Amino acid sequence: MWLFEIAKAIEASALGTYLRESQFWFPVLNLFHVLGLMVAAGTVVFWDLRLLGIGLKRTPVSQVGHSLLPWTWSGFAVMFVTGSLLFTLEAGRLYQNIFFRMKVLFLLLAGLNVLLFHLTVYKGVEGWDLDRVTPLRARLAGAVSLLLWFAILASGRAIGYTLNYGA
Amino acid sequence: MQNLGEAPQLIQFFQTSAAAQFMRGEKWRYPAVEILHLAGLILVFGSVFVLNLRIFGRVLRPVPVEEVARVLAPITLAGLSIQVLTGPLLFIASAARFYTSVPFWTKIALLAAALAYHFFVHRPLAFRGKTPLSKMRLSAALSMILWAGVVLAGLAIELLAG
Repeated sequence: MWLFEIAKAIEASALGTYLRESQFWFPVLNLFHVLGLMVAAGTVVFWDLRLLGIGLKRTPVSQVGHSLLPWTWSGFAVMFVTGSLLFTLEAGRLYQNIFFRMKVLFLLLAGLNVLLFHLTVYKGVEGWDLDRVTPLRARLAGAVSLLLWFAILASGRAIGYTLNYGA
Repeated sequence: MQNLGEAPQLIQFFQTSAAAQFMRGEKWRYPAVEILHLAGLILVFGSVFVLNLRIFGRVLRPVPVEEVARVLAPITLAGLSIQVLTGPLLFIASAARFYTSVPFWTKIALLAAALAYHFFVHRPLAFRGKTPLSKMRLSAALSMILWAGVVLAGLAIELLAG
């Protein structure tokens, strides 16, 4: 499979080799990956809950989004950069890891959920901005987002248990 | 069986308890509980983080601080209730290992400080609403430092375990 060849090449690259052989980078990248997660997930939860009519339900939906989502994206950017670097460290083994594959799938689904939400129901947000009970499709998007974030967290953590780092 | 060596009787009791044996019974149980522990942490840290961002005027500016504090409080509590269930389960599963871990005891100390500070100082100040801004922000900064310490020490337990 050509993807596996690419993954092995990334692992064998100068960057991958450097990061793998360093004692310093793996824990540091991991640390920032989790801190990025705390900020991204810690803020997106309140946006998803607002879509479900829980929590900040007296605040307009669009205001909660404008306010919190830049923080979510900043946290996500940190996760993406540190995650990509962690990938180069052992891309070949990650490619073959079932939990890594699941995590990539969940990330793609989460992206699709965001895209669908913004292309459809969120376009008419003026009509339900102040509603405590939001339209069904908005509630669905919120619930799916929460589930997918949990799935991303779970599969991500499972990678750590199934790969033998360092050795 | 792990060598319990010089561990106190209480730790040996935890380590050999039925709950500990349950946690070690299947190899997926410990990771599963740890994942729930992380999810609970996201709720606790996230809710305190958003409250403190509001106090610093970075999010939800039109919403009064006391309202943000009231709305987020149940979510902090929901997260904490996950933590008080999953945390001790993780501890007893390998009590002897945690007993000798410096990051672990650092985390417990920071957690005790963060909880006491949150419930006795920070949250009452945020609830009151009339707290002067400078005082509120000082309190938010302290709160953030304490909770970031809890998260970092928690991560260090695994990352420094070798």
